Amino acid sequence: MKTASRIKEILLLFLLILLLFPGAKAQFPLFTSIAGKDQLKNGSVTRVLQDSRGFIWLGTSGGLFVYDGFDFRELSFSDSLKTPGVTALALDKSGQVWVGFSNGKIAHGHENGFSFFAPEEGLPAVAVTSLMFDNDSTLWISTYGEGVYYYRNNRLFNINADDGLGDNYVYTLSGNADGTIWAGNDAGISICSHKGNRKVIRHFSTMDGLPDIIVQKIVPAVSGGFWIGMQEKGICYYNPVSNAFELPFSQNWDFGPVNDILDFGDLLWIATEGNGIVELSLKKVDKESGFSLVDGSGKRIECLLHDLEGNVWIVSHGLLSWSSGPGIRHYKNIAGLNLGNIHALHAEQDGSLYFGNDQGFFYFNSNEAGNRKLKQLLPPQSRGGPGITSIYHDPADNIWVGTFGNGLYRIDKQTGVSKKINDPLGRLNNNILGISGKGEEIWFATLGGAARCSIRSGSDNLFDFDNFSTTEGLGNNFIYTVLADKEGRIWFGTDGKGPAVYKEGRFAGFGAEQGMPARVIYSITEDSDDNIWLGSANEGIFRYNGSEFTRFDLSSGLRNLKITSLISGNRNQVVVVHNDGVDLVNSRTGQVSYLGIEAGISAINADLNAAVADSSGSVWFGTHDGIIHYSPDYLNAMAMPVTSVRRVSVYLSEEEASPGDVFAYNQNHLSFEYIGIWYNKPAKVTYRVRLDGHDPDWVSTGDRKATYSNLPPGKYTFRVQSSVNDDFTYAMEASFDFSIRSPFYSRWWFILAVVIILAASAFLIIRSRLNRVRREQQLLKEKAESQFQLLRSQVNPHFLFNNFSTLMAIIEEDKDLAIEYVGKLSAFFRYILEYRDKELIPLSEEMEIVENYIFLQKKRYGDNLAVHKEINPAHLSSLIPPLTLQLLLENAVKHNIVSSTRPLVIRVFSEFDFLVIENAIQPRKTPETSTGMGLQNIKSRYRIFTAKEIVIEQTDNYYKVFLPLIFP
Amino acid sequence: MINTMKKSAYLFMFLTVLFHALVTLALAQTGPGNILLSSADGIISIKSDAPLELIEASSNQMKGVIDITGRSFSFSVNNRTFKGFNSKLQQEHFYENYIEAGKYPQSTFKGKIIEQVDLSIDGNYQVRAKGLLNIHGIDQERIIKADIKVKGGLITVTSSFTVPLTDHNITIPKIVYQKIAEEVMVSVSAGFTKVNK
Repeated sequence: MKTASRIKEILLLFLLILLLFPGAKAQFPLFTSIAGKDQLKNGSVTRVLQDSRGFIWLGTSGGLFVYDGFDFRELSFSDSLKTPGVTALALDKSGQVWVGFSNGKIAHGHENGFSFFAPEEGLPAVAVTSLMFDNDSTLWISTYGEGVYYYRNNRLFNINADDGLGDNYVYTLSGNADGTIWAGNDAGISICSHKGNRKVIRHFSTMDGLPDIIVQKIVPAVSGGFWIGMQEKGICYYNPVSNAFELPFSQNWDFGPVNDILDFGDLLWIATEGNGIVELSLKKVDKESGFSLVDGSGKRIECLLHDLEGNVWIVSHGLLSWSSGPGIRHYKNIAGLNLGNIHALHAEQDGSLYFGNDQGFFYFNSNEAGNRKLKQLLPPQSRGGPGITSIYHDPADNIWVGTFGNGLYRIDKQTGVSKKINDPLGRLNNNILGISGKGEEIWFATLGGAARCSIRSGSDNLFDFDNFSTTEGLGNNFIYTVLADKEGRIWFGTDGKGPAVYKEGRFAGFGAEQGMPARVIYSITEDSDDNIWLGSANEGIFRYNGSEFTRFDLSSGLRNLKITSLISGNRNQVVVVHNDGVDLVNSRTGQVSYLGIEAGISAINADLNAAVADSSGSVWFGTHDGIIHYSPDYLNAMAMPVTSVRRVSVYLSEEEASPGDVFAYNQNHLSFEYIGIWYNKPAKVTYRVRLDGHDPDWVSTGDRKATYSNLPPGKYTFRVQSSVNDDFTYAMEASFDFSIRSPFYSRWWFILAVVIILAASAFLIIRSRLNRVRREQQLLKEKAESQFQLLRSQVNPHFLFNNFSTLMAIIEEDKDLAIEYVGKLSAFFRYILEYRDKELIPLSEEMEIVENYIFLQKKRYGDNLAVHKEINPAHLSSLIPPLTLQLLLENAVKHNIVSSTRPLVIRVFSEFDFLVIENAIQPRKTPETSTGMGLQNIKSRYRIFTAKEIVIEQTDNYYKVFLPLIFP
Repeated sequence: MINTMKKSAYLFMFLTVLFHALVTLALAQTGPGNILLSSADGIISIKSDAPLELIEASSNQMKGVIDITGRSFSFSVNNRTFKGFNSKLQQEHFYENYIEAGKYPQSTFKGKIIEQVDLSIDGNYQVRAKGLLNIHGIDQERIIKADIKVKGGLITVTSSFTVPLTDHNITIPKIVYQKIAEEVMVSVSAGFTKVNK
């Protein structure tokens, strides 16, 4: 048999290859160098940390750097020219980064500035080996030589060997759920806590089952308890239930000291001092084969970081590199076989793999020992062609293998014996692109329609096939794929007639009227919610929920519409393979993301449907250069960029703004720097920004800075979202609130003040106006009144009678005097008439009236009346309301006795600024009726012209009236 | 009169806080070959800088012993040797009401130097002393920074630190609380010479 000898030859060849490459490693994640010495100013990376905003912090031998996916920025520490080496990094609850240095100093801060931690007690004089915060936010510090410190109630406390600490050289700290702190040191593990002021220390050493006395790393385990990395004995597990230390493997550890441990749940990555990263699967029951070396990571691994996206950052030999961790593994060769172009593959429940490439059909089981790992089951099918195109494992434990042009094979899983299936009736086309089935039934997608057989229908290699082609209601004879779903429906992807389904003995197609425009369907898969997903040749993918189709295209975030394979994985991820790489669709939310170039997946040039999900939901797909295994559990591949506002600055101001700030009306030119951290492909992140209170809608941008100028006063919220594609539905948003004050002239209090002042002044003006008008009216009235009074008093009949009596008496005696008397009398009345309309007259003129009046009275009273005038001549030019003095003199005469026994003396004289009229009081027995109008009248007239009041001074003996002098 | 009394009361309280000095005790952990240095007249001063009152007092009778070999030490001061209060009354309050010198005659600090320094070699050393500070009968573990100057067998120790009153159960009446510093600043200076065995 020619074929048999050829197989033998090939097997022999593989044996040789296996012998030549005994240590060939099976698989590796792709490691990408991120930072060399150039970017880090010749420093070696010592520590790596990710903060809650996604930034990666790098401690180096010469300082501290922060990395955002684009640049490394060095942080400066004010009080020293040269920053000492960073030996510890930690994050507190508020998101601040804490840094421990080789000289014992400690600093804390964030991207925009750090300050030194300065407790009164001072800081360690030796290197800080680690920093951590316990559940109560107490800071713990481990040192190389001074034990452990903790900072509580603003007081630093020390725990060292004197207190019962195993050793003062402490390498690592880790917090337990019970609040205790585990400190790994040269004497084992010391468990520290404080109860009030009392320090409680317990110690574990080899006596307590700890395998090794030097503990270099303690890491909390995902399942509870701790993973403990040791100097000599590798790692062990502290089981909190049994309170014991357990070795998770039985083989000897020969990988050297352990520097760090990452726990992925069912998988550990162990960073070693001299043997790179060692992987330990915790799933495998067989502890014997637990360890494998992770290739390509470097020899000495200082530390590891599992970031928010699920990537792993590796510090090796002081350099930083990056990988997608155990989430994505590349198999370029397996057990010495260079895989090359993979045409079809199938993953078994136990992790073993069937695959077909240009060299044949193989079975790979990594659980097998040595050269039994890889078995060739079929020789190459055709040179240059796709060869093996489809694989199916039926319930009777047979592996069915479809080929392109070479028919169908059935292989007994247990014996590995393969048989070519004979189809005597020719109902099965030789080009079998897909095989699926349920129970006893197996369905085939071929280039000659669909075919069906029962696993019991034949014996050995003879089977009866049913063929379904256009005649049986299937739309087209070219069938690319077939899927038997959980409900028992059989789905077909046709070339030209879209998808078709076989149900209850009938075929049905889907066209544009059912919402399915795509005509060429390459792949079909079913998700955990029983939705059917269909991949088209040109039009993206479709989800069918039993009643309608939902399309996903470029606008949904897909990068390529020519779908090569579609597989439903776990974590609700539908994995979409196309020539630009691998897109991911969340089958529930519809969110679209992708595995980036940095994950090593681009231009994978895969064969049609050379992809499969295994029973755990991880996805295997074949490429032109081997196999890629994607485990959604280890990679947070749907993670959206972590958005944050980095810095807000006001134009021309050095100050950094804080959320809630209120700016002056002229500080209205603001810049916002923001970022969406996504290390998979930082440059691919797109943004949209919106300033609430200003922008009516979102503005899309690729920039990481937005500037707004001339913002009017108001309240604003700057919002930014970042996405890995143009779909922002699932984007994480960051925001920044601020407001701009109105200028003082448009602020409410200023306006109010102005209104009040205006109203008050208007009120005052109106009131004073009213007052003046009223006063004028009053004056007018008073003036009329006084004139009337004056007239009345002077034309008083009594006065006339008296005058006429006097005149009668003298008319006979002295004719000349009588004439003079009448002359004076008439002059007097003329004055009255002349002056009654005048408001003021000079005092000299008034004196003339008075002289006339005195003359008239003197004629009546003779020497019994005396008027002494002593007026300062300077005062004669002052003004006086007309007839004032006359009235006062008249009053004096009217109210007092004027007789020879009691003559009346009236004095008129100047005193300071007053003109004084003084007389002795000698009241008449029958006083003349007085209205008092006269004096009142004078007072009110004076009030018009001067602020000075008329003063009346009355004693028992004298009556004095002080008239203020009015000067023009 | 009452006012004055209140005032001085506040002062005393402050003062109380301050004193803390340390008592010479026989050093524990002293091996036969260890080099001991002792001081008989160290100076300790206390200061309470409350917003309303500045209270200062000091004692020049602090005693101390340092074991150079084991880097351990012990200091003590008699609480009744503090002098320099604003008034006799203040001193009285300090002794009786706050430090309660009758009940707790001494304040002490004893422990070990954290840094691995060799104090037999001349030089200036900045060290941290970790030990138990006993004031008012209450032990508190403290780390206290100190400067040590060694020259020709003579050691000078200077240090300053704060003592929160609450750490040592020294209570201040509510009324005067606002006017009293919650912490008392203490500074210490002592010269040591070799003990002749």
